[in-house]
Amino acid sequence: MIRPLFVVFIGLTLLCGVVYPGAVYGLLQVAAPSAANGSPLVIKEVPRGSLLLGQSFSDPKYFWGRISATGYDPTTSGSSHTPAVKQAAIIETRAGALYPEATARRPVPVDLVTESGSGLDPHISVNAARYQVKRVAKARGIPEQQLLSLIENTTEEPQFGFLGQERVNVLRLNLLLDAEQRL
Amino acid sequence: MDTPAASVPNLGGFLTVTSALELITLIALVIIFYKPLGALLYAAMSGQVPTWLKPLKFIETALKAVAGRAANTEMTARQYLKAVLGLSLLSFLVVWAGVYFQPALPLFPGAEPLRLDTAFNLAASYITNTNWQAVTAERALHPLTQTLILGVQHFISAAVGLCAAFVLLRALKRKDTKVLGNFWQDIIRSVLYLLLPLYLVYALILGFEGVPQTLHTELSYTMVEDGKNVSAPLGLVASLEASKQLGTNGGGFYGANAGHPFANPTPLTNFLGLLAMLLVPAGLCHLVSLVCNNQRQGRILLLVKMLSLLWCIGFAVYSEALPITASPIDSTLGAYQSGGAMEGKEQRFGTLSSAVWAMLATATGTGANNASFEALHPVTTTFQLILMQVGEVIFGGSGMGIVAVLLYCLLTVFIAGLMVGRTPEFWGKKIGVAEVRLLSLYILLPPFLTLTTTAVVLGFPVYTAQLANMGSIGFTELLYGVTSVAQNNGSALGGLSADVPVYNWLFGVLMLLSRFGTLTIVFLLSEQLLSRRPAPATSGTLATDDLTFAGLLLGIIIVGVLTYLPALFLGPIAMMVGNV
Repeated sequence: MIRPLFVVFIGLTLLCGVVYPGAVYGLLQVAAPSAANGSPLVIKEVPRGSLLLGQSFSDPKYFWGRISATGYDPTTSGSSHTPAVKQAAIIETRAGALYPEATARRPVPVDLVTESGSGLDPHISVNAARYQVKRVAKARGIPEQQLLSLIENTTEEPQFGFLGQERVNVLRLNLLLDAEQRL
Repeated sequence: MDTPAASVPNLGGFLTVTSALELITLIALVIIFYKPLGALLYAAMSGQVPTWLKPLKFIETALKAVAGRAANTEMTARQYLKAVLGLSLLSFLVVWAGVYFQPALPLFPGAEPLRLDTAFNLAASYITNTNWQAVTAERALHPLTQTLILGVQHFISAAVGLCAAFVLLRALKRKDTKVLGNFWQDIIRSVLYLLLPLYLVYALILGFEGVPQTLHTELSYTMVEDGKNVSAPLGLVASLEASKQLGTNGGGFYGANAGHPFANPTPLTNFLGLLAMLLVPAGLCHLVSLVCNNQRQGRILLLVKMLSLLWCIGFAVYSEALPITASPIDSTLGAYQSGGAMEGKEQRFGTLSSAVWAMLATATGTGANNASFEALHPVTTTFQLILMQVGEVIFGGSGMGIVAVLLYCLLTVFIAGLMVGRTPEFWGKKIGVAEVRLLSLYILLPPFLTLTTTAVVLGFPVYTAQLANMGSIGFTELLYGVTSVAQNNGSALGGLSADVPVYNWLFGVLMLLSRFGTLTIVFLLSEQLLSRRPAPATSGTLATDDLTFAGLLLGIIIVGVLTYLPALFLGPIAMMVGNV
């Protein structure tokens, strides 16, 4: 039994631990090199992140993303695991601190005041982006209509029309905003 | 600026048309793919390989040639079990040592040292197909450790489960023989003709959607707003994420598991992740059909599994879409926002995909998560616990899922036989005293491990101190953790900080006891069933492939869950009604 045991274990280790990931590595590095390396985003030769990973924004002139337990530090991922029965109070506190202008007539979209699962969620809902238009327009001194059309242009549709939902990539939106205003 | 309210048709308040479509497509794809998957499983079991996989045959021939005569002669149930335990023991030692000594190995520069107990827990977890992760994987483990040491177990532990299914099926089918196949041949074939091609295709799709597969260990960048320099861990993620989902493993590259944008970047990868968890367990139903030469047998099993699962999904989807009662918050469901309980969930998935994922991850033995499970609604948590506690019957793990449902079938036949006063038979094999004794052991082992451990542990402050919450929430965290390891699932509620020696040793031992305890029982039962001479079916034989049988089976499964009902009342149900 000893001989087949070692032969099978070593054989499978090579096959599953070296050949399989190696084949995937080779094929993807050739066919989709950017995606295979984390879809890096380089602006003026400075790496500014990846469109897949969210970043923290707190300046009024930027659109803000989901709440992150890790402050969008990508070194570690996760959330602070608040049990359902304790969420309402925490969400109200967050809303009061970040969006004090919210009223019952103009409530904050829920995704802006809830934590993401990974702490690196790059997206917010279309409503959440629209909600912030007033603040961003005031901080930048540009018309709200311009921001609304920018949101419309960056909105990602559900994949194949039915997977996921309409969403806005906060990092992409903010970068476009910066680029547009510089012109 | 006031935004217009939802304009997409809303089905019954919690389901939009698009999300309903997603769910229907998922079920349709499972029904379409379960037969081809079953055929592939049959190829792995019998060695009759389809033409397109023939090029891989030389690897099987070569490995068997080097392994010698022992890899070609059929084994008895006990010899087979010995080989399974041997390979698992070797895997266990290699993973334990590999993870513990990762800083010392030249291959893994800069790896962090882990404690002996953490390494023990990881080893027990990965070889048992549990994939409980006490540590945040991307921080504690070197990227190559994840691929070379842990990733290999995504194949071996899944294949061992498949081999157990092959043995049980052969025991039910064969007559006048004492042998049940050769383990070395079965495991090589399972990996080569089933797992490897499936994992490969899936990993490539993930890669095209944006999951990294690189030898760089990090992506460094300067954040746009505050100019802070940070770096995100990278590695061979796509290959690991693929094997994690398809092999019902669950241990991913990142701590946030499939919630991490690198592990699960798009709604498509998420949808495929859902499909991947179901494929092998569903395919095994068709394998049953092929082995017993009766299409209806597998169909009935799939029907029972599917109905039980859909029932749970319904509750979970509804609970997660409930608006949050906080003001001034808008959590209504609509086209322009996902709404619902978004705490701990990712925007690109929304509440529906997260709720469905939570159900599939616990119904199958995967245990992966794409949202914080602790933040889910107590109703969802209740169904997660129930799905784990039924013991892999509802889809279940790779191989072990079909084993579980077949054993429940034997029990159903026995109980039905008692009721009508006839000799209980399954596929002509008589279910006698010896069989029922082993079946009872099989069914009682996991609840015994779960409930006694939970009860005992509650008395020790060194254990309860690791819970983030008091009262019913804390109890749920503990119950969930123990259930997860004692059922080899691997998912967790984040409130339990389990990377301390007392938990690592205890949970490691529980995982090993549960996995190898049930495996031993399955092999002994196979030996017993093999010795029975099949009797020809008569007009008095209970049919096992019709709706009456499906109903009986469902009833027995539900009775099985009742064992845990008192514990559920103390945990998530108390949380629901009283916030205590």
